[in-house]
This record gives sequence, structure tokens and C-alpha cells, in this order.
Amino acid sequence: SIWGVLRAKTFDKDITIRVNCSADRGTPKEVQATKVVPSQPYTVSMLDEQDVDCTFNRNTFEIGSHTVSLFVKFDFQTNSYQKVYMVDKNRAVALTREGIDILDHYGIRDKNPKAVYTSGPIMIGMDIRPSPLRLTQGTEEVFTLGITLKNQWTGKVVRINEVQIILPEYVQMQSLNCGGHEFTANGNTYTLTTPLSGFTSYKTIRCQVAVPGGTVQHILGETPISTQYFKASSKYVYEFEKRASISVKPTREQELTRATAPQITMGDIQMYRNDQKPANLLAVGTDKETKPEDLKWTIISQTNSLVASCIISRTELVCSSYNTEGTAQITLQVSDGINKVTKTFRIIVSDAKPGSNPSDPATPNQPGGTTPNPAECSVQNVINCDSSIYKRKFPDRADAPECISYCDYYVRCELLDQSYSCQCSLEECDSLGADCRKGMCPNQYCCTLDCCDDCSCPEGVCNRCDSCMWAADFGMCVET
Amino acid sequence: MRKKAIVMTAFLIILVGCGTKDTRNIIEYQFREGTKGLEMQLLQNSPPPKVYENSDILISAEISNLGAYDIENSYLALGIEDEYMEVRDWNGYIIKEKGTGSKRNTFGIQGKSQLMPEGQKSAITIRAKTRTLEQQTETHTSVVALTACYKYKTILEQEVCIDPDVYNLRNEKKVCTVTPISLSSQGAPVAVVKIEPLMLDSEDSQQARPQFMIYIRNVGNGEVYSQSIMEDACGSSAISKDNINMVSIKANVAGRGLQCTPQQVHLKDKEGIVKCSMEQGVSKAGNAFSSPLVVEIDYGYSFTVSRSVEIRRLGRQ
Repeated sequence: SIWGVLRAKTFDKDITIRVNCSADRGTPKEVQATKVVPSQPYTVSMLDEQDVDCTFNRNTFEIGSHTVSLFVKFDFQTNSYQKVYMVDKNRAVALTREGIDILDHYGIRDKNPKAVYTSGPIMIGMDIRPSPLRLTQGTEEVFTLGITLKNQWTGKVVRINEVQIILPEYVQMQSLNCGGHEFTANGNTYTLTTPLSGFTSYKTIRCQVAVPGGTVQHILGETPISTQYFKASSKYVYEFEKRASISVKPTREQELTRATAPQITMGDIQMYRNDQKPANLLAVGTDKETKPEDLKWTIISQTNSLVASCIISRTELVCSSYNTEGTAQITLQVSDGINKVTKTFRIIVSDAKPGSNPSDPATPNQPGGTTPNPAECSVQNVINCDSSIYKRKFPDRADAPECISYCDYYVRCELLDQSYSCQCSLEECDSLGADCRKGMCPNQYCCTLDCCDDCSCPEGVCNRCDSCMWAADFGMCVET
Repeated sequence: MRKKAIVMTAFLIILVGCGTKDTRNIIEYQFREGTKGLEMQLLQNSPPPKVYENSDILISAEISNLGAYDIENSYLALGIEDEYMEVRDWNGYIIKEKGTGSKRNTFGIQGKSQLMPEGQKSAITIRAKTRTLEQQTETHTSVVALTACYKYKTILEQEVCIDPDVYNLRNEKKVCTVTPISLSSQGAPVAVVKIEPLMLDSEDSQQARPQFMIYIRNVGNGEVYSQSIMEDACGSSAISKDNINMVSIKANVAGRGLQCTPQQVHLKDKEGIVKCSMEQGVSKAGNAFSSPLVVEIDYGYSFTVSRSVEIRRLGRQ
């Protein structure tokens, strides 16, 4: 069972509330509560508090996380009005041309009145321009009245049963069709003929309203400025939902019979100095009961972090070697939610690959200047450039397209997301006279001209600004 | 002996005739001063800042004419929201149509004069009633605005120097010199603020023609209209641009009318200039002399006072 307290307040008419509960609402696995208290609609007159209790059958839920929703539906009405000033057009034009603010001149303080609406789940905004409305004796003037129903609460409008627009006397709708919404007229009251569908954000109705020329004298009356009110009201069904997460755990018996531990198939990684290799964790971890993408990966420990380090980025383990030869040990853990398994592997960093050191003057710093050796591109290290996330840096490199990201130091996949715009390649940095180093974007590199200012140099002194080399999570200073 | 008595009597008459005049009880009041015309202000708590629906309220204003011209056949317009308020009747000594439920009325009020140095002051009262607020409305703030549209006149009497010696060739002492005159107010919201006199050669070489550049300014807190449309200014009908910020002017020197161009002066940015010339000049043979220049400016004037009133819902089911 889940339970809660429903608090409701109304200032005007009574409201009738219907309560319901379900789990995993909106999914194919949605389940209705078997018992809901109160089971019948109940009425709130002023201020009321009601205990709500939802009961689900035993064994309704599968083991794991679920969302239980308590939702209430009720009918509600919101009213709104918009104050509008009206004035003779010639008078307005004449005064304006003389630099006289007509509203100031006639003592109007509220010069841009906003629509006033009753409190409730939705607001009704209204707008009609210009202010003041300018009318001409003997000529019909047409204005656009915009009415916006906007959801103010966190629930949703299930259905709009009625929209009524009440125009000032002598003002009329030019057409009973307002942008596809049909209205019927009864005097100055215009009512929507068919209910509108629900919404979660807002809905707008725009109507052309006209002031016939013959009625201008009546509507303006005896004084220079006439104040009139456009009104609108809406009756609708509103649904308010409160969600709670529940976790269904297996019984002891279920737990014992359940689930074998996941497995990690991960061998040692051979790398050159200043190299980077990603490994697809979806291919490395397996579990009988759990999908690969639901496995949870953690790096438990890393040794010799001056040689290499690894981070987990989405479904990849990305390892970077530095400018030092040696071996680092990485311990990786995978969990299926119940069982955890760890695996330790080595990163063996050997001498730099020919042509991969950007500071090597004998090596051309050109994209495509080096051809990846397919022999070095083992299948397990292939980056799969997902086109929805990445673009290829050098799409014309058809010679070894899957390997370029790690076989060729200069070429890698770039994230499409603009937030990763700091990604750079070494040749870009060279052209700027800057280094390519870790930036603010996770696992990305950026060009920096004042590297030494930004680098933390735990092991050395920066002699020159361009002496910082890109490293893992911090700038590592080396003397050049 | 008889001859001697006549001589003595004549001497006494001369002695008495040479006595000084006692002027202690005669004060000439300069009532054509100040920039104010009609002044109007809503009285405290009338209308009250908060009022209940379906209630009678009084809208009271103190109206005084602090200018130097009597207001007649002028208009007051009450701006209220018909949906929330209605007029019952108007009352007050200066109100012409008492008891009417109209939102407009006519009035007249005397200005300052020698006999009434402070001008007339009076209170008007408009009885109104708030209407029922609609469902779900707890309070509504409504504006009550009272607009006055009145006809007014500015009269300036100023000594000016007429010097027929156009080029100042005569080597003689003159009783006055032709110089610009700065002015501030004449007991009206539209004032002559400067006069620039000029003596010009006439077509008739024996004559000099006086000319005056007259600078006019709206120095009050309202707007100027043509006097002819004051009913419309407080009404709802159309007004032409030509009737806004427009005054008509006439002037004379020593009773001799001046030709003013333009006669209808448009005040741009509240200011206007008009040139007034004497058609028939003065003889160049004459001496310089001072003479009163009288300028009359006719116009309408309008301004509004307003106050917000919060209408509250009475407890009801």
C-alpha cells in the first residue's frame, strides 16, 4: 500500500475530486491499484484534507524500480478579465502628434493593464492592442483578441469543456470561427461549440473583434476615455499527479536462486607513450540476467598514475598513457545490482610510436600524414564512431577508418555536441602556437596559450609556456 | 483793503493747494500674477481609497480659480469605469446642472480681481454608487478621474518704449530706450514670457513702425486647446490636431490695434512666437515715449486629477 494526504481548498464553487492510483503509468507495464480509498468522488467545499490509500496486489510488481502515481482529477473553472481603454482615433492621433500621452493626460495610472484571472491550475491571459483602442466614428474597427490558457501547476489539463468570451457592449466577434475554433453567440457572450483537447503547457485562441462604426459614440460615452472589460472563462478537467519511486526487492529465496555474477573479459592493454585507447565496456562485461547497458562499472584503483590512467565515459573505458614508459595496474569492478566482480589488468606503456610525438621535429604534424598500421589496430580497440554522437575528424581517411581514433594520434572522433567545442587536434594547437591539453570538457582537450598559468605542476617547474604537455586530469609539466 | 483781502485769499488757496496727498489707504493689488489658472484637487477620503460594492460614495473636489480671468461655460468630466460605478448626481455652488446623473457637467468660477484678490474657491460633490463585483472577484481597483476643460484668457499690460529714432541718430536724452523685456506670468497658465520690441523703417519714410516679437509659453500643468472646442475636449468626439496647443492672440499699443502674425499661434514644445506690428507707424519727427502694450491670449485649458479606489466585495454567499 501507499498512502498520502490530499489537501484541497476552494473559494467559490464546490469541486468534486476523483482519486486513482497506478504504477509505471504510461508504460506498457502500467498496473492499476486494486483498491483506492476514497473509492468514490468526493466534494470539497472550502478547505479539506483527505487521506488517500492505494493498495496493489501482492506479486504485482517485478523485482526492481517502479514508479507509483497517485493522481486526482477535478473539474475547475477559471475566469479572467482584461481592462481596455477606448478613445476616439482622431483625438488619439492629434494628441500623440502633439507629444501628449493621452493616458497621462486623462489621469490613467494603470497604463498597461494586465489580464486579471482567478486562482487555480490555469491562468487565462488576454491581450488586445493597441492601448488605448482607437475607434472611428462611422468606421468599423477590427482588433485581434488573443486568449491564452496556460498551465500554472505541475499537472495537466485533461480536457477543456468550455470556453466563454464575453465582449463589452457594442463590441462583437467579426467571425464565429477563431482560428479553427467555432463559437456560438448569445448576445455578447460567445461560447466554444466543442471541447478542446488537453495540454500541459498552454493553448491560445485568437479572435477578430469588431467595433461597428455606428456604435462608437455609444461605447465611448460622454467622456474622453472609456474603460471597458473583455472577459473570458473556461471550464476544464485538471489532473494532478504525485509520483513516488519504489524499489521491489527479491525475497531471500528469490535472491538465492537468482543471478549469477557478471563477468569481465579484459586483457592487458599495450600502449605507446602519449597515447589514448578506449575500450567498449558493452563488449567487455557480460551477465546472464542483466543487459550490458544496465551493468554498473567502477574503477576501484589505479597504480602508477604517472604512466597511464583510465576513466569511464558512458559505455567506454578510456585509457591515456603519458610521456613515461612503464606499467600501470587498473582494477575494474562491474555490478549487476546484486553481485560485484572485479578484474585487474595492466596498461603497458612502451616507447612512443614513430611519428606520434608532436614535439618530434622529424615527424610531420599533419592530419593524414601518418598511415595507421592496420596490424596495430586490434579489434578490441576499435572505436565505433556512433554517428549520432560523433563525427569523424577526417572523413576522407578511408584507409583505416575504424582505427584512426587511436592508431593515428592526430585523428579521432569529435563529439558533435556543441558543449564539447573545446576539442582540438594537435595541428590546430600548433597553428595557434598552443598546446593541446585537457580542458573543462570531460575527456576532451583544448588549445591553451597560457598553459603554465592553468597547469598545476606537481613535479616540475614550467620554464616556458609551451612546455606543458597534455596529460590526464591535470596538466603535467615537463621541461623542453 | 478789498484788493488786499483778495490777494490774501488767493495766497491761502495756493498754500492749501500745495499740500501733499495722503495715499496710505490706497493699495493697488497686482492680481495678474502667477502661473495658475483653475486648480482642482480631490478631497481627502472623497473618494475613499477603499469602498465596498453596492455602496454610495462621494467624490469631492476643491476647485479654485487662482488666475486672473473668470471661467464661464466650461466643463467637468468624470472618468469612471461604468462596469463598476455609476453617477447619481452633481452638487456644488459652481455647478450649472445640479442633480444630473451624467458624467459631464458645466461650471463657472470667478478669477482673481481687485475685488476678489484670491479668486473664487468652491467645492463640488459628485454622488456615485459602486456596482456589484462579479463572482470570484474579491477586490477591484478602479480609477476615478476628474477632467476640467475651461476657457481662459491671459491679459498682459506692459509699458513699452516707442522710439521713432530708428537708427538712434539723435544726440538727445530720451525718456526710454527700446530693450527686450523678460516676463514671468500674468495670472494664467499661458504666459507671455518675453517681448522683443523693434523699431522699423516704414514704407513711408516719415514714419517708424513699431514691431513686437511676443514669446508665449504654457507654464501650467495642463494642455492647451482652441477655445472653440472645449466642450469636445471634455467629451468623447474627435479633435483635430489643429485645435491642440493652439492659442489666439491680439494686441494693441495705446489703443491702436497691432497686426499679429499668426493670429492663431501653435505652441510647439509648449512655446510659440508671434510677431505683432503697428500698421500705421509713428512720426519720425516725434520723441521717444512710453506706451502700454496690451496683449490678450485666448485659449482653452485642460487637466485631470485622479485617484484609485479599491472596491471590495461584501461578504455574501
